[in-house]
This record gives sequence, C-alpha cells and structure tokens, in this order.
Amino acid sequence: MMNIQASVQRPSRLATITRPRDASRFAPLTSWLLTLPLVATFAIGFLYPLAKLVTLSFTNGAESYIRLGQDALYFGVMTTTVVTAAAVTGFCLVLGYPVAFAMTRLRGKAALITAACVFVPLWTSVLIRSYAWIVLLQRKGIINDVLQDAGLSVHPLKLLYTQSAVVLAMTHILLPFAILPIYATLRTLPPDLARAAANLGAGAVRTFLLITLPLSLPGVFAGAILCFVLALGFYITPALIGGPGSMLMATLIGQQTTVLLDWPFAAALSTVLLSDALLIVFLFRRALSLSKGFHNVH
Amino acid sequence: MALRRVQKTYGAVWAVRETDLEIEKGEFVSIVGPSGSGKTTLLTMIAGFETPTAGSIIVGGQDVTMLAPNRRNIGMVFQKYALFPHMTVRQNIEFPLRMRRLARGRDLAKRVDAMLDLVQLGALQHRYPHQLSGGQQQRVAVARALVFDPPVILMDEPLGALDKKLREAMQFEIKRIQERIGATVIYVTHDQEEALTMSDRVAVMHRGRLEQIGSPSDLYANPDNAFVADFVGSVNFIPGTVCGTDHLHVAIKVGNALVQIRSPQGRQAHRREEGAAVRVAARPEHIAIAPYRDRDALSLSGTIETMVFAGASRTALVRLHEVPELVLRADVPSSIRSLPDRGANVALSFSLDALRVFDAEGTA
Ligand SMILES: Nc1ncnc2c1ncn2[C@@H]1O[C@H](COP(=O)(O)OP(=O)(O)OP(=O)(O)O)[C@@H](O)[C@H]1O
Ligand SMILES: [Mg+2]
Repeated sequence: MMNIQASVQRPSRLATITRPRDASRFAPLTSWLLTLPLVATFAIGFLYPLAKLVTLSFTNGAESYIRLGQDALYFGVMTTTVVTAAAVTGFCLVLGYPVAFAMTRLRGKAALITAACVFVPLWTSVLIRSYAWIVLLQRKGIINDVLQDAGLSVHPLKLLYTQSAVVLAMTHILLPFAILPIYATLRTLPPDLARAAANLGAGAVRTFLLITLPLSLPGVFAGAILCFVLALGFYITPALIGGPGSMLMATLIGQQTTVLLDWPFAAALSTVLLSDALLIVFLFRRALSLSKGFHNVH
Repeated sequence: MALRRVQKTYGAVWAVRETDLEIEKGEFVSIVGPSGSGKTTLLTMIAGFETPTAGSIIVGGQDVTMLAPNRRNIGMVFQKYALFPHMTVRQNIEFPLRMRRLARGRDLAKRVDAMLDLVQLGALQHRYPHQLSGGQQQRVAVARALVFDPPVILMDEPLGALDKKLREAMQFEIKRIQERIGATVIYVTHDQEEALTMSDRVAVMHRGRLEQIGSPSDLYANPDNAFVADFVGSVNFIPGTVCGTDHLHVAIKVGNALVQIRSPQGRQAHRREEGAAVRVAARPEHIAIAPYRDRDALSLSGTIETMVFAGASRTALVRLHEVPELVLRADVPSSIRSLPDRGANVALSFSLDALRVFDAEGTA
C-alpha cells in the first residue's frame, strides 16, 4: 500500500518506464519486479528442494514406491497418520469454536486473559509442551498420582505412549490454529445479523445454528485445513509421546533418514505424504465451493 | 405503546436521556434528529437488543422492558439492512415466517410472493444480498420486517439509500401497508420532509433528548425552541433586542429598524422583557419581498444576492441592510410578474402571526 502511494506521488524512474495505464495500479512488469525477492526465495528454498526430493525418490526407479505399496506396515502408518490428523482436527474445532465464540463476546479483563491463554502456548516451544504432557501422563505422573490419591484407580494407568495421548497432546498444541481463524471470521460478522435473527423470531439456539454458524464456516474450514496439514507432518510430539505401536509418517520418515539412511525411500514416503496433504486440501476446497452461499459471504 | 422515563448510558456517554413517549395503536410516529442524537439507541431498546439503564417500555399494556427480543412481536428494519448474506432474497423474507411458525408450504409461498410483488423484487428473489444494489437490499429489509404482520414496526432510516422516485413510491407503500394492517410504526429518518409527509406525529431528538413531539403542522408552526424550528423546515434567525411591548405585541429592534411580533406567552414570557436578547424566527414563505420604495416602519430592507429556482417558487437570498452579516432566504412565488433583479434593493415585510421568537444564540 505504502509503496503504491509513494510511486503514485513521486514516480521513480522505473515506474516512469513501466507506467501503468491505471495510475492506481502497477504495470505488470513492476508487479513482477516487486514480487521477485519472494519468488526467488520460494524457488530456491522450496521448489528446488521439492524437485530434488521427488527425483531422489525415483533414484532406483519406482522401487521405493513398489516397496511402499506392498508392505502393509507403511499403509498402516499412513492410515494412522491420516486418522490421527483427522481426530486432532475434529477435537480442535469442537474445543476451539466455543473459545473463539467466547472471545468475541468477552470484554475487558476477561478478554485479555482468554487471549493470553490462547497466545502464550503458541509462543512456547512444541518440545516443552510435549515434555509437559510427559510429566502429566507418565506412570508416576501428576494425573496418575491424583487418580490414585482419590482412590479412583489402584494401579497407575498406562497413559503415556498411547495413541490417545498423542491425539490429546497434538490437540492441545494445535488448538490455537483452530481458534484464531474462527475468531477472525466471527469478529467480522456484524452484530446486527444476530439481532435481526432475534427480531424475526429466532431464539439463541436457532440464531446460532442458522446464522452465526453457517457464516463462520469459512473460518472453520480455514482452521480445519491448518490443523489437518500441520497434524499430518507432526514429528516431535508423536515421537516423544506415542508408543512404538502408534508410529506416524513423520516419525517413520525421520527413522529412514537418520537411522536407516535409506534416503530414496524416505523421499518416497515424503512425496506420498505431500500428495496426501495436497489431495485433501483440494477436496476440502471443492467441498467448500460446492456448498452454496459460502463464496459470497465476504 | 409507551416509554416511561427511559434512559440509556454507554459508560459515561448519554445516548438517550430520560424520555417519555406515548404512542397510540396504529399511529405513525417519526423520529428525526441529527446524527448521534440517540434515534437508533431508542429503537434498539424498544426492539429489546439493549436494556435501558433506567425506565420501562410498555407495549400493548404489557411491560416488555426485560423481555427477550425474539419474544417481542416487533418488526425492525435496520439502518444497515442486516440481511443474511448466505440466504437468497426469498429465504431472507421466509425467515420470520419459518421462525415464528406462521405459515408453511403453499401458504408460506403465497405470503412471500405477495411481499415480493409489493417491493417489486420478484425477478431478483433467487439472488444473494451481495448481488443487489443498496436500494434493492433496503427493499428486502423492509419486506422481511413486514411479512409477518407485526403490530409494531420500527424502521431505522429504511429508505435512506433510495433515489427520490423510488423513495416516494416506497413511502407510499409503507403508509399503505401500515394502514392496511393497522400497525404502529416508529420511523426514524434524517429526512424531515419525509417525516412531515408520512407521520401522524413527529418527534425531534437532539443530544439524546426528545425536544418536542407533535403533529407535523403543529411542529412546523409552533416549534418549542430554536433547534426544532431550525430542524423542521427551513428558517431564518434574525438577532435583535426587545425594545417595547404592549398587551398583544412586542417590538424588536433589529439594527436600527423595528420588527413587530405577537407577544410570546407562558413559558416564553421572559422574552417580552425589555432589553432581552432574542432571535426572531421567520420561515422563507413568511417573508414578503416588496419594492424598496414601499418600505415602512415595520419592514427591513436588503439587497438581493441570488435568486434560486426551485420549481413552484423561487428563493431569494437577501443580504440585510440592518444586519449586514446576515443573508435571509425568502420565497418569491413564481406567479409574481416582475421579479426583482440581482443587486436590487428591496423591502422585506413579515407575516405577523407566523413569526416566532427565541432566546439569543448560546442561551437557548
Ligand atoms: N454501543 C455503543 N457504545 C457506546 N456509545 C454508543 C453505542 N451506541 C451508540 N452510542 C452513542 O450514543 C449516541 C447515540 O447514538 P445513536 O446510534 O442512537 O445515534 P443516531 O441518532 O441513530 O445517529 P444516526 O442518525 O447517525 O444513525 C452517539 O453519541 C453514539 O456515539
Ligand atoms: Mg442511527
């Protein structure tokens, strides 16, 4: 914005050369020049390694992919990963929506405290938060202590190194990524809409279900995609909290690269994971644009 | 319907000061007032979106001050339309009928069709609000508030975005529907002309206070104060000093000329006292322009600066000789044969009965 204004007021030599027809816009060449640094970074830091990765996966022809397809183990890990990511996304949305909704209603101190509760974990390292869950969940951890003290269980429960523990910890870590987009969408909804619904005879529940919820769906979808894609690639948390039985793709890939040093196979796994993510995002967007009305909400 | 000592504050801000208002069933009451005078806030409280800081609201003999908005049977047209963006025009209009379970199936379709016809939106019924112009959206908002025949309808500048022709057509429609269903309407508008033509009574709000409420003609002819006089219709204020009085008249010195008015009564009696600084209020149609040589002891004089054509009449802007910094607006009927020219000196006389007097500026 600033750049646009500056160039309108004091045309640099470059802008004079590439003068746009419409003074409020840049000529195509200028726009390209301005995005060049980003494009370059993107090309060098993302596209090149990606191409390298895909090439690497085909080092021995399609051998890695064949192995991947034949061994049920890998398909199992893939399924676990997708199911885990889906579960985490679901929990994040269910837990995050009320928080986002509350954030739009709260005022003053309460709003500040809620915002802090959402943001502070975001600024804390994932490693620390994962270890925190270990402290909570381990055999002699806080939760087992409390349960035993309260007489609710005789023996310490196996909480850590389970699939549920992974979902729990990942949900906790990814929660802000669901809350923030939903909150952002809810905040843009004019309060008059809910008032109009009430005025026209809808109670609080129907106002929410028929007006607020449908209009906040773009935020819900954005949060869902964010959580899901991030969850697909989660590494540290499942590695620390998950047991050997609940291995996820990222852990598997890590194992292949650092322990077994089978780079082509690791590259093949990564490519498959990436395609999965892309496919699901694509399907999501399709579903979104097909459901009528959402494209014209904002 | 009645408001009893209703007031509303937002923190330290007074939005509405203690207000009393009684409205008869089937009455059409307009609220006019400058921006920020508390008109929307007043409607918001009647509709139930905000609870008054103090006071009570009675609708149909029942105290509804604490009743939830969806349990009040009040239709509202919002200033910013508040159409549901994810629903088509038709779905928006169906919404209240479905929520209130007033109609279903055929009956519902029929009522919605009738409403669509009324606001001339039948052809656009399957569009989404964002595909409509401002005026079309406004008509949807009106249709949605009227379709369930509420006994009380609140309208917050419902026609603000329409062009003059469509606005007049909609004014007519709103009046017609209101009379047909016998609804009580509270109508907020910036447009005082609209208020005067449509309403049984007009209320003027200013800084959260209800300055005056009365029939359009009453408000126009007998404004309580300078603000109302100025806000309803156009008016010239001529500053002067009271310099003499008898039983019936007060003479006011303007520059070194005299203007005579009927003696103010009652609460305004202090404006009779000699030496009181006052403002004489004269509407443009109550000032007559005559040739300069016809001036007498009770007329002012001035120089014509401009003539403005306005259809049925012309308005002359006349710079007063007595108060040179003042330019008066005076209507000149077009039927007059010899219109005075620009730059001509003229005599200005006033219709005695139509003049009003208010305290001088700053004391009002
Ligand atoms: N939610 C709010 N919080 C604080 N102040 C408010 C709020 N709503 C309104 N006000 C204040 O109350 C006063 C009256 O506002 P209101 O919206 O009723 O004015 P209005 O007469 O409808 O004006 P307009 O003609 O511009 O619509 C204004 O000074 C406004 O700033
Ligand atoms: Mg308003």
